Amino acid sequence: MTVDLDKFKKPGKDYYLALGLEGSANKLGVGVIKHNLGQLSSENRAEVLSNVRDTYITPPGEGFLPRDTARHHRNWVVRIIKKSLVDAGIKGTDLDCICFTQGPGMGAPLQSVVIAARTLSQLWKLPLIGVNHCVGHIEMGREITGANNPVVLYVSGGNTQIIAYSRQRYRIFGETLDIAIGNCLDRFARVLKISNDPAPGYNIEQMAKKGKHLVTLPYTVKGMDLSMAGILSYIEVLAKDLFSSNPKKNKNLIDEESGELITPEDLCYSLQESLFSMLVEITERAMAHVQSNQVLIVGGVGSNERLQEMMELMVNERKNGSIHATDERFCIDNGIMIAHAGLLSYRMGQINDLKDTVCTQRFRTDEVFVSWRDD
Amino acid sequence: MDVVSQGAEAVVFVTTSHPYCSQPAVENDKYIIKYRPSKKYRHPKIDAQITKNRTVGEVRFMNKLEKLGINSPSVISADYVNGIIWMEFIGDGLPNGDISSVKNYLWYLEKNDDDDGCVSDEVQSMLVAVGRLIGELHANDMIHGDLTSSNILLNGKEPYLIDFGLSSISSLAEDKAVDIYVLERAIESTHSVFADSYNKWLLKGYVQGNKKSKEVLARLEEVRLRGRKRSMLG
Amino acid sequence: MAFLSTKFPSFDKTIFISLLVDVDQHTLEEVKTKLIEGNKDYDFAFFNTNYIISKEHLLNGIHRAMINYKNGSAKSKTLNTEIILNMSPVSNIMEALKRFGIDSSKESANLLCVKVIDDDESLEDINNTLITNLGVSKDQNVELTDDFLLKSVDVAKFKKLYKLNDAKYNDKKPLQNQLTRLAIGACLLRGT
Repeated sequence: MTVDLDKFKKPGKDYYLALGLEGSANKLGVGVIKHNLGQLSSENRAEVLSNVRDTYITPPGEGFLPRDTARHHRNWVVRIIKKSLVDAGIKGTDLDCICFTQGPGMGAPLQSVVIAARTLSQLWKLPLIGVNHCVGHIEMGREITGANNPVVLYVSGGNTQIIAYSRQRYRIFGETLDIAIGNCLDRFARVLKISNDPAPGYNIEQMAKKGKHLVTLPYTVKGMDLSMAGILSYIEVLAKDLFSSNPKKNKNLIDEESGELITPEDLCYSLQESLFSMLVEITERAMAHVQSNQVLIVGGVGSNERLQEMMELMVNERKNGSIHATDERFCIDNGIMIAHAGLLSYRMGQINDLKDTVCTQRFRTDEVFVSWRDD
Repeated sequence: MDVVSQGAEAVVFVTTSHPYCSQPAVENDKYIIKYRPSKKYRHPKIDAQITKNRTVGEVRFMNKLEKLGINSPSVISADYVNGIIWMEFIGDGLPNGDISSVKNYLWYLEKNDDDDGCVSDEVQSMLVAVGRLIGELHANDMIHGDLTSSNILLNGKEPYLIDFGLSSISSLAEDKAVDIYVLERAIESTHSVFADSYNKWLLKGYVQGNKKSKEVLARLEEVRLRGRKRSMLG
Repeated sequence: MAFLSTKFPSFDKTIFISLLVDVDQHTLEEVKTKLIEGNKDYDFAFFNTNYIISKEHLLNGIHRAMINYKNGSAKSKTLNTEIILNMSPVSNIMEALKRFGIDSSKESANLLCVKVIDDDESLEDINNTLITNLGVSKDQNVELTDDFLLKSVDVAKFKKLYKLNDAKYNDKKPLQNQLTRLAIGACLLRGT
């Protein structure tokens, strides 16, 4: 038995078009997706008509503040929407619905984007569909990679969760008990004044490739949960002492085996090795728990090649294991995933009344009823 | 040497060969070997550190249980570098040859007995004893971390706790409540027909085993309402 | 001849254990001296029997020492010292030698001799040479049994050393078995 996705189709039209707006953090993304009638399958793929993004980049050593990020989104949203429609080669009125991120995320940026969504909805008389950001990532990942029922590792600036589908919910089996992995990497980057362009995590990854010596860091896994705040404060102190301009505080750290000095590259390498080991470990535990052999990595940190490589090593040890990951177009926050997940809801009859389009900073993945799946 | 179970972290074997003694002071002539294989994805230094810490942690927890007289397998030996723990084999086996875990026992009754048999006085006193055992554990601020009906074995009528891979020490009512909640949920999903009676009996025993159960049970109510996880941002 | 020998499944070596009872103070002092000199004839792990609760307890110490040597995680210079250290619940080697090593404080004491040997060595030769070198009579060489150890161990001191005074004991089970389990646990956790 499969769900009927076409109960609400428009007469005489054999496809759907949805616009998605995403702005829950420092990326503003707009995309247009096309679904043809019928179940999505390897023969009937969702079509990405456009996927435009603009990232608010702050100077090294600084994070993005909600107010400034919201201003960035407001300044750019019209231009990005226009470009997205041009890229897709459609008019606004060709669309079936407007999808927007309802949460979780930063309040002010979310709000500035939902205002754009509401405006478009009224302008073009289109229904609004609120989308859970995490569900957006999961559905887009499934669609792009063809992973049917994977254990999902969702790793981004604001989220770190290990998720598996069961009875029409994406259930959270494990998650961070304090800060998210992306947040941990970003804050470490700030201490070392690593550039935020294109992303602090990307620059840490490049530096880590040159790292040679592993510095032992705390390792905190509790069942399928993990904690990263302790590691961050530990390595922050280390980094500050190592690279302090004050000669009194400037303590040199030496690698025990080689006797060589520890470099910023070594710290990046050590941080990645420790954090990613924890992620892979909880993923493996979740896979054993739900007896799954597929892993899907989504979220901005998911584009890290070392994380993908480690996950692959783990998966290869398991029987019939397979790993699925998307590239930066879909891993990093984008509008197309919101359009895609929103369109799935729309095809099942979900429409948000204007009064129900309030955004929320807290919106758990397992709150969403996954009406479009019934396996 | 046969594999008993294979989890994400460890493989468990049963063997008839004692690592060093022909007449050891344990009751069974079979032994359990718990092995944490090294993980290729981890940096060798991290891997060695984790393997050692986890193995030591588990031995320490088991030794504490032994000292407290709380039913659990005795440690026979350990090799921290290679992640190996040798321990006592617990359980006398079910008539169908299965390992005598609480799970297998209850399933055996479900298959071979009528409904009355599944909720007999014998079953009740067994589950009360299990609850008492968990109560004693918590009374000593020890948290199992992964309580399920397959992680409790029966030796005759005596229940024994096994598998302390996720164990921890904590005096918080929250941690104890979550420990019980995990078991309640496991009972619901593995023994759904009689889960209500089973969980009631477990709690009855728990109160007997843990004199300071009041705060834990109050917390348990909260945990039941909100689920295992505390609500948090994003 | 009264000696024990055993093999561990994961090692090719043979364990030789011989017990000499009521060895006089003078001989014990002499063994100590020869040990310090590094005399090859005295290449044994020598124990007094005040703190050994059972054969299993002793065998665990030997086994652990061999594992540590194999893993490169041994803390002492020789396997014999490592064996003595692994009987102890504390990491200090001097402390372990004082407690478990040759006890020459009294007029006479029991001397337990342990040696890990290659398969081709004759156990009887080793035992004979040992008895001759020490100049003890063959009657003093008795078989090591758990009953003997239970009689010679000082339970109060034993419990204090292994910090077992607060342990909960089960009246239905033999005390020796319970103390064996607890002592092995304490040895396994030494230095962790």
